[in-house]
Amino acid sequence: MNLEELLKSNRPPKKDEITDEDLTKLFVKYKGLLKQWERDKAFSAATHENIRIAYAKLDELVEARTAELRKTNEQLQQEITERRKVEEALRESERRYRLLTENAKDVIWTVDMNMRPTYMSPSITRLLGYSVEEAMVLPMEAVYAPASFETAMKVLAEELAIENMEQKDLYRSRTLELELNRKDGSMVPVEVKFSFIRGPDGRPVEILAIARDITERKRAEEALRENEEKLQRMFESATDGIVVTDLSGNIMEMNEAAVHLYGSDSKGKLIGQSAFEFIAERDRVRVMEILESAKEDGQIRRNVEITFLTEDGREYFAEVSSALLRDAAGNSAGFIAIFRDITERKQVEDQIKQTAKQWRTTFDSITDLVSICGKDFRLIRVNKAFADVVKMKPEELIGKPCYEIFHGTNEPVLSCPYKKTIKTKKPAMAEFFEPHLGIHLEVAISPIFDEKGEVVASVHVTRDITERKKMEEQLIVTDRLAAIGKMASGIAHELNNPLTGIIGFSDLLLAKDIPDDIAEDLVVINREAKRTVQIMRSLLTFARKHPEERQPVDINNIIQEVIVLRAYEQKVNNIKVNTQFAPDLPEIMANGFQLQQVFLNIIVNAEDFMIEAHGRGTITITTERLDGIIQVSFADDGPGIAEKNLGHLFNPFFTTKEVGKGTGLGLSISHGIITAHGGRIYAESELGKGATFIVQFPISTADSRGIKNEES
Amino acid sequence: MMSGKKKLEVFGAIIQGFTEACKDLNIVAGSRAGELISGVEVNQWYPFKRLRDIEATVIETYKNAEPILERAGVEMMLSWYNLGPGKEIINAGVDFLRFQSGSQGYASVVKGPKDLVGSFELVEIDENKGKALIHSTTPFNKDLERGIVIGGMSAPGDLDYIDVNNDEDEHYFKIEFG
Repeated sequence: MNLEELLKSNRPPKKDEITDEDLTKLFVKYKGLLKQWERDKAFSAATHENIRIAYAKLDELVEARTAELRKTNEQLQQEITERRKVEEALRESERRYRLLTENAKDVIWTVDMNMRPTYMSPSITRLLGYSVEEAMVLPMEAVYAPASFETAMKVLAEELAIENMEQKDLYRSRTLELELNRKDGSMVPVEVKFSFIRGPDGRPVEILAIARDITERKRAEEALRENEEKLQRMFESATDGIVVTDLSGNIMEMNEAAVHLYGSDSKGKLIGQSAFEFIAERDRVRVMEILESAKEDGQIRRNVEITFLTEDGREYFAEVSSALLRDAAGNSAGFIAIFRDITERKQVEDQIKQTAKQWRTTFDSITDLVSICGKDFRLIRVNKAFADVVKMKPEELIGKPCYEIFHGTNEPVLSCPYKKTIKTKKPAMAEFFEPHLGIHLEVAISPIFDEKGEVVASVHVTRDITERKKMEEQLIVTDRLAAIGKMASGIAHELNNPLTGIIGFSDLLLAKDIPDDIAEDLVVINREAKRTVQIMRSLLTFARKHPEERQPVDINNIIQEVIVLRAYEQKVNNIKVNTQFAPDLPEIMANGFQLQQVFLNIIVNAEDFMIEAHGRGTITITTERLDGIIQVSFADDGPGIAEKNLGHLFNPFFTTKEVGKGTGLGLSISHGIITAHGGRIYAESELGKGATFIVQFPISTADSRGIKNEES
Repeated sequence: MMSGKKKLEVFGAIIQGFTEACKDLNIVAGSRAGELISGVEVNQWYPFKRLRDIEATVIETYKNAEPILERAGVEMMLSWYNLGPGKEIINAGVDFLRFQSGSQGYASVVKGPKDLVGSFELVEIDENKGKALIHSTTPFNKDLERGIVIGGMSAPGDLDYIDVNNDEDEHYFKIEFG
């Protein structure tokens, strides 16, 4: 087995199978392999070192590259974010523009430079009636009205010529008013703004047109024009003068009426003149002040009365309204004044004022209380008499409710006649005593109607009828007294016969021989019977109807007769009468029976109060002559009169007596009688210290007696 | 215009062989290798600089390029023998040495000015002792050249041992073989 076979047998060689030559071969082979292994090892080491270095470099590179990539990535991310934002903004912008375009009322279209449409906004349908698709294929000649198309083409040519110039505004636009054809054959006026859409090189690539329907504007312009014409016609045809001035008052424009009012026949001559020349000198400063204040506040001054001058110097009154004029920028530019001659009206107004004054005077001179009252019962107007009665000023009464003034109540009284008038729409009358005022009133109410016939107010004529009422009461009393007198007269006649019998028979018996004690009694009977006859005679005299004439009377005698009448009553009631009569009193012209009534009344009142107070009393009656008067005083020692009642003693129906004992008319009638005689009656008293009634009469001279008394 | 001075040129087959070797050994990445031999025809002459550039590429790439270049030279000659005309020229390892006599082998792949071309010449050979000496003044990298000698001798496969050493003088390759 040779060496090759031995090596292939893959078993250790036997001792005799290996030759020296084989060993040498093996040695060489081994040395060759070893060399090859060394070379491979060196190669492997070199490559591995290189790989290691390469890996290290690679790591560095990877790291650097990773960092670079990270950075790049970050930048990229940032760029992507930015780009997304930009894209989003662009999309939003595009969406917005599209929304704007699609929803714009204006129509937006673009055409290329050959006038072929490239875009139409949907609003084309609203403007022209075509759908977008229809409009996109329409030739421009069909869109524009012929004249408008010609204009548009002319302008396009001009603009293209500008494009060839060195200096040009790339953002310029042209706005034209054109007419477009609608699908239904009608035409619509539009305002179209043309501009070029330019390519990157700045050259026009498309034409942008934005069209706006100006139908309404055209109508408004037409209306404005018509309005201006109308205003001009009104200006010229106005009957009032209208003058336009600059801020200095120089006339700039005026209508024919103003020329006429200035007394001129030439408008041209007046233009440029100062309007102040046509104002009376005394009013010029005032007018200047008015205009200055108008300049400050811009307010219209209405109906100012100014004295104007005509060209020939004649004065007339004018009513002027003026306003500040402003220019388009809002600055003060001048004044406009509208004026009219009110001379005649002023005269009429003066007359009316005069008449009103007269009416007022008349109104206030009416003695009756006249008022005008609204439906709400509030006073609209009152005359002086009214105000005097309620002790207020007329202006204080206006607006106050009539019931508050008259009745002192918070609402109309139940018997209010005005309520009746409002209800029935008819005049009403009423009489009432107003304790609030202490007077009797008679009111007549006449309604005032509006144009619908509804009561809106009323005229109240109220009259103070206190005196009349007193007279009526007096008449009642007089009638009653007359009845009593008549009855007393009958009674007196009936008693006279038996009294005559008593006196006669008592005289006959006294003439006979009778016992003394009986004779004494008969004397008393006879004397008292005679005194009774005397009383009856006085009663008859008092009750008899007497004429209203006045005669000279002696006051002392009249008082004496009254004392006789009251003698019995006084005696039985422990009333003592002291008289201090002046002996030299002159007679006065008077109705003795009326004075008798007055004195009787005073004495009876004194008796009543003294008896009631302490069952007895003394009356001191004094007559005396003072300076030009006769004074009679009746002083009693009764309970006296409270101070609060002193002022009401002579009011009708005022009494402090128990119910049924007094009418409250006695002193009132007495007051009337004494006053009618020109005299005066009053009372002085202090509570608990008696009362004194004083009656004074003027002393009449022989020559003037009757006259003076008549006058009073 | 042609220069009057002839340039040093190398046969395209050497460039391609070297490059293919580098490629096979993964010394140079495939795409880079492709670039290095791009447009190179095997039977055309090219400036020697092309080969130098490939050498430089390897030297720049590796920290210790000596074993790499040597291995590239070996691989280059194995391809020359197995895939190229080598089998027709030599039958045994020693034949490769004899082929270098008078620089005939070298002269077939490098041409140009003599002072630049240099020589690759078998100085002596003792087949019995298995020793030989080659003197090289070629512009080739000496590590690559050492590999070429090793590759050229080992390609026929008849030698069990081959050692080429130029440590003392890079221009003298001391060869032992057996």
